[in-house]
Amino acid sequence: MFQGPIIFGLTVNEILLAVFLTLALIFTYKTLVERDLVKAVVYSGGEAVSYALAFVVMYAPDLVLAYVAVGLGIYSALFLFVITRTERYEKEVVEA
Amino acid sequence: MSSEEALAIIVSLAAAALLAVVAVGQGLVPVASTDLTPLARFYLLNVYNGSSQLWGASPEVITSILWDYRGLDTVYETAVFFLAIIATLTLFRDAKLLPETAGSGRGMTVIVKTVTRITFVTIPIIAASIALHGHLTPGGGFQGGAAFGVAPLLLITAFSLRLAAERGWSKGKLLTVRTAGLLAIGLIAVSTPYIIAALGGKAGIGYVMQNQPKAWAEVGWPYAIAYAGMRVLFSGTLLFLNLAELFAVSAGLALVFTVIAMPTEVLEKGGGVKK
Repeated sequence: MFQGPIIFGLTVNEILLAVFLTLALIFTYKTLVERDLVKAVVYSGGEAVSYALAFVVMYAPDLVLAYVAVGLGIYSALFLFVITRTERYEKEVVEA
Repeated sequence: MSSEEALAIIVSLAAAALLAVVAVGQGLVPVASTDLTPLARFYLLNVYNGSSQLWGASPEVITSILWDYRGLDTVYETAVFFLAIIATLTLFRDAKLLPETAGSGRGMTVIVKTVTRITFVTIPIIAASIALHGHLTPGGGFQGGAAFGVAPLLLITAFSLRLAAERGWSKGKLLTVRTAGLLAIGLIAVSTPYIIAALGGKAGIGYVMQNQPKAWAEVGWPYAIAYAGMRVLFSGTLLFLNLAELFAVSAGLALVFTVIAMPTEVLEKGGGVKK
C-alpha cells in the first residue's frame, strides 16, 4: 500500500486526517455558538465538507458521494426552509 | 465568551492532551490498520472471483455488500426512508400543490437563475452516472438519488415552487415514481426463481435478494450480455436495484422538498395544524 513520505512519524494521510478533523471541530464549535441561524447553517456545511474530505483520506469514496449530497445540500436546505418559518436570530436566554 | 464555554474548551483541550500522551506512550497508534481483517480478505477474494461460489459478479465491493451480501439490510433501510416520507406527507395530507396557492413565483435574481439553468441539467446527468455505474465504480442508487434530489431543490429555491406547479409537478406523480421504485426493489428481491422459469430454465429454489447462483440455490440472474462483440457487465440484480433506488430516493426527496416549500397557510389548512 502506498504511504508516501513519513513526517514526524506520521504518514501524509494521517496528517491530512488530523487537519480535516480539527477543521470540523472548529466548524462545529462555531455552529454551536453562532446566534445568526443562517450563518450557523453555513458553518455546519463547512463541517460537512471537512468530514467529506476526511472520508476521502480514509478511502471511503462511496460515503463521500452520499455525505456531500446529504450533509451539504439536503441538510442545509432543510434547515434554511425551517429557519424561514421561524426567527433568524437566536435570542439571549434570560436566566430566571 | 462565557465562563462555561471557557471551562468546556479547557476540559476538551486537557482531554485531548491526555489522549495524545497515552497515544504517544503506546507508540502513536495508526489511524487504521493497514493489515486486512479476515472479513475484508473474504470480500476481496470472493466478490469478483468467478470461480468462487460466493461471488457477487461486480468489481465494486461496497455495492456488492449493500445489495447482494447484506441486501436485506438495504431493503429495510429503503423501507424506513419510505416510511419517513409517508409520515411527512401524512402531516400535510390535504395540502394541494396548485399554481394559484404555490407562493409568489418571483424566485431569485437573474444570476442565480442563469446558473441554475446550467446546473439543473448537469446534476441529473452526474446522478445518473453515479447510479448507473454503481456496480463498477464508487456510488450507487442512494448516492445517485441524493445527488439527484439537489436538482428539484435548486429549481424550487431559485425559480419558486409556482413554476414547478405550473410545469405539472404534483404530489401524486412524485409519489407514483417513489412507490414504483420501491415496488421494483421488492419484486427484484423475490424474483430469482421466476426469472429463471421465464427464461425457459428449470425453476429451483432461491432466496430473497439472491444475485448469483449458489451451491444450495442453483438459480441466479445473468451478470453480463454480449453487445457488439463486447461483454457488457451489469452484475445481475445490482444495476436494476441501483436504478430502482435512484428513482425511489430522488422522487422521495423531491416530494419532501415540494411539501416543505409550500406556503405556511396552505400547510396549515392542509394538515389541520393549529397555530
